[in-house]
Amino acid sequence: MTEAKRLSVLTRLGARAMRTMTRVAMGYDPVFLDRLLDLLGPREVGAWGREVNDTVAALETHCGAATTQHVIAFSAFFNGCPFCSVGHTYAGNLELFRATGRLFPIDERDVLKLQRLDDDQLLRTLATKLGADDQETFERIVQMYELKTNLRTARTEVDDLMLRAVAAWDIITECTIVLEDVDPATVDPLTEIAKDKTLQDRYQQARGRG
Amino acid sequence: MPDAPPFDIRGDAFRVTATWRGIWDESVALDYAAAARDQLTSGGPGARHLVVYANDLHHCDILARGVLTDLHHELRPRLRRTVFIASSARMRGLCLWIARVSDDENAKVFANDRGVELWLAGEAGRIDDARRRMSGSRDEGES
Repeated sequence: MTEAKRLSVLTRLGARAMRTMTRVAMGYDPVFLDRLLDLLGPREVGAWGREVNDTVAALETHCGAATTQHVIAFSAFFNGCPFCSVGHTYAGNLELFRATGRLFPIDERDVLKLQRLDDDQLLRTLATKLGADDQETFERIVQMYELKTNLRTARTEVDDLMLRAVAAWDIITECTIVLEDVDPATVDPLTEIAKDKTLQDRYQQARGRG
Repeated sequence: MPDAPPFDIRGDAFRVTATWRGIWDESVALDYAAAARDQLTSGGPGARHLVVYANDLHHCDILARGVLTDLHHELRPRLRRTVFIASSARMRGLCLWIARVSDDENAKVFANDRGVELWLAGEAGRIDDARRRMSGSRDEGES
């Protein structure tokens, strides 16, 4: 098998430092950082991170925190990434649970099973699972999917923001090579909500995993 | 009706089209690799496009993946651009993995045919294309 590119010692040290800082500041371990640093270099990783934060913040003003995380999750999902799709679904599920006490119909631990469906089956499954309470989230996921797959042309500010998010996660899912087999139970929520361990405990209990 | 074969591959001087189907293990992948070498080792470097349809591929085991990445790495200098088309997220992940591990910036994964011709006619690498789209411009097709 072709060997994956070997990371330099400096890249590894830089990644380790950045992962530690993120763990402390955000509460989760960005295991993808090594490959992202290798791919973009330290300076561009910083710029990428700032652009991602700006895009996510702008999307949140239109879609809310939970739906934004679900849209990002599915942007990574459609690339076949097992890590970001689970981690951002988990983050969106926690946002929704914190705001409403409600469980999102898609458990983050079921996401990888859904990746085996073809897109038509997947969208039909989401349409069935996401009822009236989550209709807007479903429509936003479909909007992102149609933009991503050229089934829809960008016309609105939200379309443009979604395309930027799609591009950002197209870059980050280049690290798929190190994350081929992921146990969803080991993936942290991939936002600052990861610091709220009490919320996570309550959420897991509500899912029957307490 | 008999089952369709696990792959077809055919082409001309400009484009080779492959279709992957069913469940692949190492032996299927090795058979495909031999057929792909037959098709692609003639012609000059960077001469042809490769278009792979993986819509009907249901499983590709870890040894088959190794064969496919080795093959793509070997054939990459002979290819101008490569497109993988897969209708499931799981198989798009596999195709991205092949492109990434074989260090082929000129390979890109799509969910359908839309945007494919634009990508094949373009010049930007996959990651540069994503960088440009991230900053707001779109010109090489979406993924």
